[in-house]
Amino acid sequence: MTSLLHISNLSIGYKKVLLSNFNLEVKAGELCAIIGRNGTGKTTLLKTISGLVKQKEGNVLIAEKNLSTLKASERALLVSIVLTQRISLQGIDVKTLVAMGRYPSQGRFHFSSDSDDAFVMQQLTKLKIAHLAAKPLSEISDGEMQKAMIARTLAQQTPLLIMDEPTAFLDYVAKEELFVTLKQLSKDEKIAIVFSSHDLELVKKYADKVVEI
Amino acid sequence: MLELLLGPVRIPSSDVLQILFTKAHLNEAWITIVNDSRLPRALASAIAGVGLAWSGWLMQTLFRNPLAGPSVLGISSGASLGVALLTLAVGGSALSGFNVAGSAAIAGAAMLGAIAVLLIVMIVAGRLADNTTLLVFGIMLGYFTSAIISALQFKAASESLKSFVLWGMGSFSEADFTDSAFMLAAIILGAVIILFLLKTLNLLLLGEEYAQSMGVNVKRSRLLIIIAVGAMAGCITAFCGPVAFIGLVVPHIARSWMRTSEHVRLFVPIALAGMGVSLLADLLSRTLELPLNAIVSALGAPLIIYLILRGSNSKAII
Repeated sequence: MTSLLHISNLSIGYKKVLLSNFNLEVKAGELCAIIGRNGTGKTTLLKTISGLVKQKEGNVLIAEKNLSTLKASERALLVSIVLTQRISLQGIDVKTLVAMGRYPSQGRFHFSSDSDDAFVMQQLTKLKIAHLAAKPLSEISDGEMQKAMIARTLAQQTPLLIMDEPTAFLDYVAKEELFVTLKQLSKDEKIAIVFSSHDLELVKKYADKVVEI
Repeated sequence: MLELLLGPVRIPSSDVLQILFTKAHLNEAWITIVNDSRLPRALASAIAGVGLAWSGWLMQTLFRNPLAGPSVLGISSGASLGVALLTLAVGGSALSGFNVAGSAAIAGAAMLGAIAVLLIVMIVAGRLADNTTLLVFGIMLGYFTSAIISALQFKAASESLKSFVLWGMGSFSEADFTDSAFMLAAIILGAVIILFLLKTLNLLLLGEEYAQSMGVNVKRSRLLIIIAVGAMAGCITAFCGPVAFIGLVVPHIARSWMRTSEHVRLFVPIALAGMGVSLLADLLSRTLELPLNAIVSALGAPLIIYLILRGSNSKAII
């Protein structure tokens, strides 16, 4: 089986190069953890893989398409991301957030159809947060927020999901729960998940692949 | 409606309706008051209210900052500078805007000024992580443009100076039908852009990186928002002066009224609330015989303080 994510000779950074000659292969259905001390470039690497930051050198191929040649609207169909910063919005509820994931697959004016709506509800159910559908984002816990964010990426239906320190703000129980969820999703949905983490024990227990940078 | 009925000269409501719909009445003076003073003024406040409210709304989403608004981030000052340069430096009584060309020149100068300031704020916003810092920057930029305006005023002829000072207090009374037509055109342009971006604006609430990751062309969206705000806020400032607070406050009123921040569901409520608040403010300004900005500032400032106090308790952006 060919790999879904194929990174070769990648060098990343903003003004200074943070990491160079980086190679990685991740297959569909694999859960891949990136570990490393603060400041080694984990976040930059993840943002580069998702196309938010331009690479300095090398190639990132997702499903055999070269990331740097794609428009944002095309990238959004291949890779989705959950960042670390906490989004707190009073006037947006969980379902609206998850429904935003349908944006790239809708037409120019992004009208939502009934099938979009049903699909969004399915993702909420998959992550066991359907009961939170009408709750404003400012009123849910950090663990629930991560699940809502993951549901949003599932609604985006990308073969690759990137997560930057998904367990950063969670307590121990919620951390393990999230790892179980990610593991299960990677198998059930046959998506590749690449994430960064500082929880080495959990990484060892659940990740299919661990890369230290 | 009250706008048309109330005023220093008492005209019975039935007579006002008769003048509006049949265009004929025994009392010639009343016809003049209703048609030439009250109607254009009500029309200008309604249109300006919608445009200011939409501008503030777009800016709050673009900067993800509940305290953004045309009067806060220096947009109105930028527009004022445009107008000041035109009227004080070039000279002439262009402000009274008796002809279409005069109106167009003022509108153009104000829009350029507004867009210039917006671009500066935008560039700086990219470097500042903190919303509060951005706000302080906007206020400072406002002071800076005001300084240039003061310098221009100091050198200006007293005649054009007075009209400029009066204009600076904000008023819907100076705008005639031609001016309103210009404002309406700007607002229609703004509305088209907003309708085109409705879904995209929701995504921008999550921040530019998330929006981009879901396929939003962030640069294009940002540019469209700047054009919309520049056209609407700039044009309104040109004819009604730098009206404070309406653009900042109305989106909040509409959000708590509709209990949502979803843009699709706020488009119409914000327009209605903007129109209502603006007509009410103008009505108060007429009946109390105070400048418009004195009214909106007296009502708006406490509300903003409330927002800041509430904001320090919750981390919610909007």
